[in-house]
Amino acid sequence: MKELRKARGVSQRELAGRVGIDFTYLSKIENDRMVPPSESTIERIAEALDASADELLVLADRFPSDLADDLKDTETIGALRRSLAGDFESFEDVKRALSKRARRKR
Amino acid sequence: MRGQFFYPGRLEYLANELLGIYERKKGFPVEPPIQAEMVAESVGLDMLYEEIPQEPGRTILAEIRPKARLIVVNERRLRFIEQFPGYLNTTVAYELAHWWLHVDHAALDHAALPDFIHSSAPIRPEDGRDKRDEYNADELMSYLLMPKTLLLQRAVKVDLQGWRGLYKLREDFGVTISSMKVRLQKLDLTYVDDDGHFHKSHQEARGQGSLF
Repeated sequence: MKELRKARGVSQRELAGRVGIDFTYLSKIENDRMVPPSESTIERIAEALDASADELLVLADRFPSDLADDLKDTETIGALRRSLAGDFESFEDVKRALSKRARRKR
Repeated sequence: MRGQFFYPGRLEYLANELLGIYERKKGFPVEPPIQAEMVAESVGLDMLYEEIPQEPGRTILAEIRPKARLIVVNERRLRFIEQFPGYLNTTVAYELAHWWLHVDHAALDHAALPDFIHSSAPIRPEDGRDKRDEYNADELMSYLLMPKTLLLQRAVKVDLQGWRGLYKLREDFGVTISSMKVRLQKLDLTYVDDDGHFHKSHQEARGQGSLF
């Protein structure tokens, strides 16, 4: 998130203002002093930085809530497992694939 | 390095060097107000606002943590700092100046060999065993946030014989009113005496010192 913000040439204060959070809180998130914010805050940050919310959520170790709902459905999981079989080397790759799938559904 | 003497011209050169790096990253010329935190980030520093443990008899507004490449602003003092427009910007610029002048950047990247001692201690303004370090950091901050050419361009458009003009420039450059006053006085563009009266220059305020 920090790298994205810097790449966009936006200051902590400016981004915090756009998102509606305190800039001191943002500085703590960026420097791993606090746990990642809520899903809705991450989505607002992504919007302010013109970035993918799913990607930021994955980086923050959070699953998009709509995806979490899908994962409760055993049929979806079965289909997912079959489609993913053998194609991924790590859990990170699986998470990325899930995020892409969620985006397609939207 | 700490305790080193810098000529004013050298400090101005180093401030311009910082601005040059920032400008290249930004992709277009710098314009006031110059945001110190953005310049700091352009040279690889990050900003953090958190409480700095208080030590008896000392007020710590901010510090540099060299190893972590962090400028830390004391959250406990933030409300006080923000009471004065421009104070946060000058505080961050001051820490950046310490980073640029007094931190051995090459040593930070030195391999942790048995005979090499890494110093990870934070640098705080009050740590200055040599007041010269503080003076140098203050000067570099001034050159960085109020570059001569940019200041002159705007100074000609305001009345420097009254506070209104100085406050306008303060606002334009995002610095404290005292920093702006000192900078303008050093450029000999105005002079405010102890009674608050304005003069065109320090010399005019003092009168003719000698005939020859």
